[in-house]
Amino acid sequence: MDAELTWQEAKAHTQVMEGEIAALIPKDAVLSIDQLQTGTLLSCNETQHSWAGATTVTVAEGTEIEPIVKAIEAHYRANGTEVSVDRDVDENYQIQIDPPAPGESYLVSDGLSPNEIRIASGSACFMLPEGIYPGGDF
Amino acid sequence: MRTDPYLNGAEQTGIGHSWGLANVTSSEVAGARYDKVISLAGAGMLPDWEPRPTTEYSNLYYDDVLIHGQGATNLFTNRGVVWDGNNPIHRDEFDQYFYRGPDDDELDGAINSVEEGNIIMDNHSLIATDSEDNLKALNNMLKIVGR
Repeated sequence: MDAELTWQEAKAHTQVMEGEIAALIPKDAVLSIDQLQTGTLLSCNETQHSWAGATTVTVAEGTEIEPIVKAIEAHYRANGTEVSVDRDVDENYQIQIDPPAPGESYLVSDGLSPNEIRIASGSACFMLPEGIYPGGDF
Repeated sequence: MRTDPYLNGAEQTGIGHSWGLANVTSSEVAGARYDKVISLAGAGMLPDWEPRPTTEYSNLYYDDVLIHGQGATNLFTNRGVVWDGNNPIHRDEFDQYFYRGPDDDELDGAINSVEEGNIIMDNHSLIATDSEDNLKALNNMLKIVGR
């Protein structure tokens, strides 16, 4: 872990990564990109947290999502990033991109509604300043 | 809540972790009706429990100390040692969703060391935590509740 990493920096980097992943979706299929402006904190261990957010990309009706997710998978595999594959609870193809930083992770699969691709994120682990309560929006 | 005019149109989901799932399923025996029941490494159900045809049942779990216990049989009753074997993991009515824990690579099948015991203990808690190691399961819970 980067001992100096702040939650704001971790969030900013993670949101940039969400945007990078969203940018891999073919432009002609994309209707809108909706990034959560606030997220929540997950725990990494007893002293560190991870910022969790999400970006939802709405695609044109009839767009096949699985080949898009597989193309994102291929992109990250090609640059040496660890990627694992499974199916989500709706049997949709799901990838988890795991950059080397402990805690940092991106889940890409179908969204919560039809014609959506959801990129759920967890940032690299960081230490909150003393006195900051980790509940609520960040 | 089913009779409350303000709440009866809302979807109602019961979620229970470990022995807490027994509270949810026991409330069904007592007459409660949920649209969705989500078991997080849930322990079991009363013998009288019957799945409701209009309820969607899901069980999310890691390789944990509970499923090792649920695989064991009481030699006197010839039934499972956990809730007599009436466990979410053994019931087809529950859609089963298995996740790998962060230290599962250190498990080799038999649990015969303190370290392995600690891993399956931690895995049992993990499914109900806000740990980033639980990110995939948390996102899938969101999908189940939202669908």
